[in-house]
Amino acid sequence: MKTNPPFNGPDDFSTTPSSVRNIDATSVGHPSVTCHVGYANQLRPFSSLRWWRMAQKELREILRDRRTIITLIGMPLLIYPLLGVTFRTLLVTQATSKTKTEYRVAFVNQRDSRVFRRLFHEGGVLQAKRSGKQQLANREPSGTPEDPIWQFMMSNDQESTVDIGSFVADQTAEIGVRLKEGKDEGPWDFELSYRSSSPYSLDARRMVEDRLRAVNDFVILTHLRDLDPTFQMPINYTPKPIHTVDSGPQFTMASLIPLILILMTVTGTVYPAIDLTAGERERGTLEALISAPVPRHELLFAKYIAVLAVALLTALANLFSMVLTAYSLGLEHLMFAPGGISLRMIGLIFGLLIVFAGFFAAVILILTSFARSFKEAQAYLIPVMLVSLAPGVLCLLPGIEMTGWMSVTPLVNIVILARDIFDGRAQSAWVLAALLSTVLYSGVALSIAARIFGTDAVLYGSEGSWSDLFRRPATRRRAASLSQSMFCLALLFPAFLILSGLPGRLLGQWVEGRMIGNAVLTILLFAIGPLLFARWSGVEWGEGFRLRGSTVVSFTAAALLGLSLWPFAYELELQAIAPDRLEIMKDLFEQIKTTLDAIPLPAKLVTLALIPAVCEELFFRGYLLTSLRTGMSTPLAIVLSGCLFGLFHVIVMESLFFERFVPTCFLGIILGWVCYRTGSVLPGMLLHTLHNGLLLSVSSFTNELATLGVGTESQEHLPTLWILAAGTTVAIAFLMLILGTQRPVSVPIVSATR
Amino acid sequence: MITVDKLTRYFNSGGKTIVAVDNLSFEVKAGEVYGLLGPNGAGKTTTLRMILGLLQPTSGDADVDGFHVSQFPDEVKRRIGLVSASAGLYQWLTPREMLLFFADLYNVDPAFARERLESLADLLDFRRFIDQRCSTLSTGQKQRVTLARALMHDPPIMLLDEPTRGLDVVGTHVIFEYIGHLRSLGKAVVVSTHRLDEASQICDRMGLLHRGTLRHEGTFAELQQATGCSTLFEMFLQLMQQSHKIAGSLTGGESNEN
Repeated sequence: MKTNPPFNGPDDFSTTPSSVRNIDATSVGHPSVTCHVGYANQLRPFSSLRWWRMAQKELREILRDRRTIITLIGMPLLIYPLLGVTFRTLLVTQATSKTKTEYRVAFVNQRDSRVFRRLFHEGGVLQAKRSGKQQLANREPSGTPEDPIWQFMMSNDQESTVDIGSFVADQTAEIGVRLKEGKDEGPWDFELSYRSSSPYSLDARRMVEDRLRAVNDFVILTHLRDLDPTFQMPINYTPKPIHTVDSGPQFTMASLIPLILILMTVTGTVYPAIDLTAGERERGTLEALISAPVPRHELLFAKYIAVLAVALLTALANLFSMVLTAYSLGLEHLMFAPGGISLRMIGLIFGLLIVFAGFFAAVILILTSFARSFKEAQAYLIPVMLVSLAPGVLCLLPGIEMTGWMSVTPLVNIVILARDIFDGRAQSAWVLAALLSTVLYSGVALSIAARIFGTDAVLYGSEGSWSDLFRRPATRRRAASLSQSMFCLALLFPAFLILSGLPGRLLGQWVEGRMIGNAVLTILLFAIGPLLFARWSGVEWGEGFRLRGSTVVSFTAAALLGLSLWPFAYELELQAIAPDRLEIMKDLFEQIKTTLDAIPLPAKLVTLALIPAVCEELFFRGYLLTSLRTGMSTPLAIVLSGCLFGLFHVIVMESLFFERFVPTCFLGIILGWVCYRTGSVLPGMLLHTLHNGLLLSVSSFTNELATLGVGTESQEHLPTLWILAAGTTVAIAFLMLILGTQRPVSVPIVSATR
Repeated sequence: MITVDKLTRYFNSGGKTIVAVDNLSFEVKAGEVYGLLGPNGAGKTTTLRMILGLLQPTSGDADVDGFHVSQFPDEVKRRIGLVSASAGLYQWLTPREMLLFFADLYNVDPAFARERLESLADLLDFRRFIDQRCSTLSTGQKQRVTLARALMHDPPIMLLDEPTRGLDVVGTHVIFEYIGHLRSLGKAVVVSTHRLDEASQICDRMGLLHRGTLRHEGTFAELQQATGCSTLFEMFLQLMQQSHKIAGSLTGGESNEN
């Protein structure tokens, strides 16, 4: 046996001094440490792209496995053409069989045939007359079920003993006709044999009976008219078929497609998700990974990106193959909306699949992070896949429409949205709600997965650690972490969406009651809810909500802004509003004003200005902005919190007011900046209250203002002088804030006390 | 370099509380190889995992190069290289890709990581298969890559968990050489093993662990003196007999070693 000397290289491979850069003791937050010389890891300033390099490594690993490529990308490329061809063949067969609806009538002898055919023809003519299609009576039948082809057959055996029923029984004919008493003149008594178990034969019998009855009716009518020329049939009717374009409750191929696409995307996430979490645990690489000084959530995020990339690759392969198949086989009008396939639709569907894959990958990662082996992970996933099929199938039922609950129910909302996009009717306000809630749920699922991934309970199977996951943290935080605030937002958003319609439903036309209801809801959702959540998750109220005093300068500046910002918000809203929406908005505004006119102003100011201002500041600026600042740069955090603030104001009473987005965002960003400069939510609360209150007062005193030459409806834009005055006031307030407050320091995350 | 201070860890299993590590304290200096010895289930692996911050101690703390693992887990991880017998490799990556990936995880400068890879390839003799997929490597070849992985970030402290488990004579020899090399570089090394014959050869000092507690500690000579036994094997037998007599009624000592 040849043994290689294990160490045959240069003896000393410790780092040379030139290649060693020591860790700066202050940069690691531990002043007492003297750093060890001769070890190589340094804190590189920009390691922020590391998650991307990690994701690349995960992707490389997945994509080198040929099985992945075959199952995830090769399969759809094969399956859709196969399905498409089968589907088309089916259609063609159906189409050809439809053109040949043909009924065969058998007779035992010439006389029976002669008598019956004469009467049958007469009946046909009478029927055609009655339905106003005389000109059609003598043409060739078209062969549709309504206008079948009739074939008349004669028994070869002319014996009267031949049983006509046997022809019907052995399916030679649908109807057997025999005259009970053979004579050329009526009345005649026919025996009609048919197969009672065959719908086809039953149909033939019905049509024969109809024609014979038509003859009887005619004869009766003629006799009656002989007796009484004025006689009229008591009932007359004309059948009028209505041909609909939309298939109605019919179950079509098109309604299946969203489900198929979503299922295929799901299959795209499953294998990589298991492989990168439970698989890694099974192969023994997870411990080495967790031993590295990389936060677990970063490790998981890289895996998430890789899973998402594979899922999207699968989705893309599916979409491509499906569209190509439909197009080349000419099936696109059957499968998609009447307009066929458009690039815009494909783009929309792919965008939707991104959101969906993002959500599903996160959910699956929770389960696979939980599992210790490939097998265990599969066991967890099968029920989830089955459960997720149920809402998918439910959504295919006709009459299911996107509503409040549906739009925030995970999975259901995406399937309905996909269906609506295919049908070309996805325009409702709930699209935004569905997308936003799904993105929020993904964030929450991801943060849960990050808590589970690589815990010792999974890594070493130590029991008892699961409770640690849900234990309240021992350390008190001075700001909510990003995942905590996203979790809170993910709960708040659907709750807000669903509950905001509740006061209107419950209290009906009682305006005072609705106002109080809305105020209570605002307090519950934006103040009490977040405060309780923060208490549970160990966030200090004072710091975490920026509840602390501020200087006189701050309050003065905030008051000035509160008084002077509204003209800008108003002008922005005018800019954003589309001309055709202007009238609707005006009507709405008038309607609201009329309803509110009965309420005394102080009551309005409290319920519509003070309470929303205080509660929204507490949540959006106090809790959310402070939390966002722990995870990103302050400008980005201010803009993001402003946009979220805007989004909450876009959805009002089950409809969308996109016009409100820009002005509300603008206000949210300024409020965020004020909170950042002053380090407190209180000045923002003052600003917000004054702003709301001023708008309310203005609308209350419209009549008084009109006498002063200011009309909210007559004149669209505000006088230039007003804008100038407001602008100057805003500038002064900004200067006061910039000069009068100190530049705040960044948010400390964990307080030093344990 | 390493100060373990009253580390204690309980596990819950089927409603019973099991003490895996009980009030364990020891120190390891730079350039010293410390052997953590004990039979299966003594708590060796659990101790190493707590030092590295992979397991939360029930109480107590470990201090690594001036950093408390409970407060600065990432700083501690940065300074430790872990070699574990159960460690696997990424099947679809080559040793080069995998080692550079781990270097990146430890924030090693890319240029420096490539240099480091070259020197480790010579030292551990894996240049021949550095660009082969890991799935095609033999057990001995995999072992070399695993050893290299722990050294990519040149940590001052090495934790070796049963490094010779499942290895043949050649593999064991590689480990011995490796540990000797680490000592010569002045690294603080903790080796956990139940192979007593090996321990006396490679360890400067050792701690005898039984049912989560440290029974004896010192150099081989000191241990001989303290126990009155001439070999580690006898010391162990003695330990186990004592504990059977003393704590026959106690349960515990079972651990979760893989």
